[in-house]
Amino acid sequence: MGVNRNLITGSTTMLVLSLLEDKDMYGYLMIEELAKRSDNTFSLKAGTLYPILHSLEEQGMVQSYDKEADSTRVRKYYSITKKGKKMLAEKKAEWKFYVSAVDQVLQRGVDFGTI
Amino acid sequence: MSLLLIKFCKGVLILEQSNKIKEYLKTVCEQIRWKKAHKIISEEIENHIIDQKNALISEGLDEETAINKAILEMGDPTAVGLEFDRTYIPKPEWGIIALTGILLILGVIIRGFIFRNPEMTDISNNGIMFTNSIIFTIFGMLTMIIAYFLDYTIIGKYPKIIYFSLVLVTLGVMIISPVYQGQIFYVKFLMLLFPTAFAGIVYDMRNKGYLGIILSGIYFIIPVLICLKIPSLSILALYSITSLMIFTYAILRGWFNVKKLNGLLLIYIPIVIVSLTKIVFINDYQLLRLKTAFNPSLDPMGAGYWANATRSIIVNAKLFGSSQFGLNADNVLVDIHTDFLLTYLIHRIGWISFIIIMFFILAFIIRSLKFSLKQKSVLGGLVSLSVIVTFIMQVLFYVASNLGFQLFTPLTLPLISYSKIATVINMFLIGIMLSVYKSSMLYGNRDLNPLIRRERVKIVDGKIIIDLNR
Repeated sequence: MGVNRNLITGSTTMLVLSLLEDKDMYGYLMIEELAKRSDNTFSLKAGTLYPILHSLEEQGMVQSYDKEADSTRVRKYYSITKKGKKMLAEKKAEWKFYVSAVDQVLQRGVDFGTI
Repeated sequence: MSLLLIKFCKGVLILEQSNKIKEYLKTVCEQIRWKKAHKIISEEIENHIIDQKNALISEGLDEETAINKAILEMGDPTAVGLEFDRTYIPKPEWGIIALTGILLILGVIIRGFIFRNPEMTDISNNGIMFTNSIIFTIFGMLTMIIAYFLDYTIIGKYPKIIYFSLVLVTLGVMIISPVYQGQIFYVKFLMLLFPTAFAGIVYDMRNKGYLGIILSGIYFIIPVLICLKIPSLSILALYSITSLMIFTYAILRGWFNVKKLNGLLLIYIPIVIVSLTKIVFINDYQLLRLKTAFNPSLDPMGAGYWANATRSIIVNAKLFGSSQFGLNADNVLVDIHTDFLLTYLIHRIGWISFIIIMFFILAFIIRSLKFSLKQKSVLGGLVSLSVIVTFIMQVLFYVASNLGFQLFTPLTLPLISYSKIATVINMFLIGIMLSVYKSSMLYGNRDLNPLIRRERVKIVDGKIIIDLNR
């Protein structure tokens, strides 16, 4: 089951990075956006997201900065770094490779079925 | 009356709700061993819960249900905390810690060798001096450990208090310090702390524009005046060059929010002008000193004496083993243990001793510089840079002087040559630097706020918007 778990955490990191590709966001916004883009297929718990964001920051994949939300609160925004973009591109390529491999297997199965 | 009661009940309710959030945050933080990370993490999670709660309320839930749901959606606090705990681990820079240890041990061995040397004039005193140097090394280690565990960000939080306390202490010491060879002796070493204090001042000038640069310039000048009062050219050069490096670093990182080239010109033009004026109005003594620094044989029995002596010693030294040079270094040089340790070792043991010592010192410098320039946090960068440049300048002056270029009288060879106060101060500084490296992940680059680095004039939808908020 180890592989399975790796696949999930690996793809979560990819999803998190891809959310930041277009614009800088704070955590809450990212969870909303992810739910919206995936038609509520992915519900990422905040308790999972923040540790991922912090360790991505530690690895230099994202950067954070503070921005005033209103007079009393300051929000922590994240933006993707060059290094993060590179990692995202790699992960995307990996993912496409994986998906197309799975597709190929599945499609051949269909072909055999129709014969 | 009833209105008051309702208000009171609402108050209690809000209190209860914020207690629930606090309770949750407390459980999360209890899992995270690195206490300094608690604040950063709790703030972010608290913000998130409030956002979530507000969203749920706008969907029609009542306050209490909203808050319970928001907390529930965060996930199990223990699991969340453990996840953070795995990320937040202080990372001591073991390489630099090890190199510091090596330099300290080298220092003890070298001083032991020198003080055992029968040719040193005052033998009865040597044992006491060696013991003293050991005691101060241990004391230095303690201050280093304290600085390591102290939170270095206080330099950024209270820069003025730190700066002015240091000025006051220095002025106080100036009054009580003995005058040794025409200089107010102990103040020289206290000055080693000023570049780091100045780093805090520069940090405080964030986004203050050209005014910020000028204000920093004023803060820069006060220690210069103290250096002139001592008077010590070495410490003046050390302080000025180190502070210039700090200034340059801050401008290059966009700290003052000004055009980088303009900022640099604003600093370097006055510096060049002052230096040129100084050269034009140089007095006879200074001119002689400058000339003999380059050509000591101009005045071999006076100002050029030491340079001449060190040059003849090192020219005759071998790679391995004691040199057979007629002029005995033990009699020619004075203050070997403080000022001419390298020259003496080159003479007695050969160049190999110099190579070994410099190898470890250079390794320390290169590694520290690399880490300082890599710091994401501007405060971390400024503080660690101030420490390592102060270290480099001391090494440069010492080595130059020991090899026969004596424009600057040596201060100390950090951690190696005999000194009491300088050892403690240098180790304190290294402790601060190590504490920057250790916690670099805590203070990422949150102090660089792109919001404030905005364009003065923008064109949006065909309209020109001029930003006056500077």
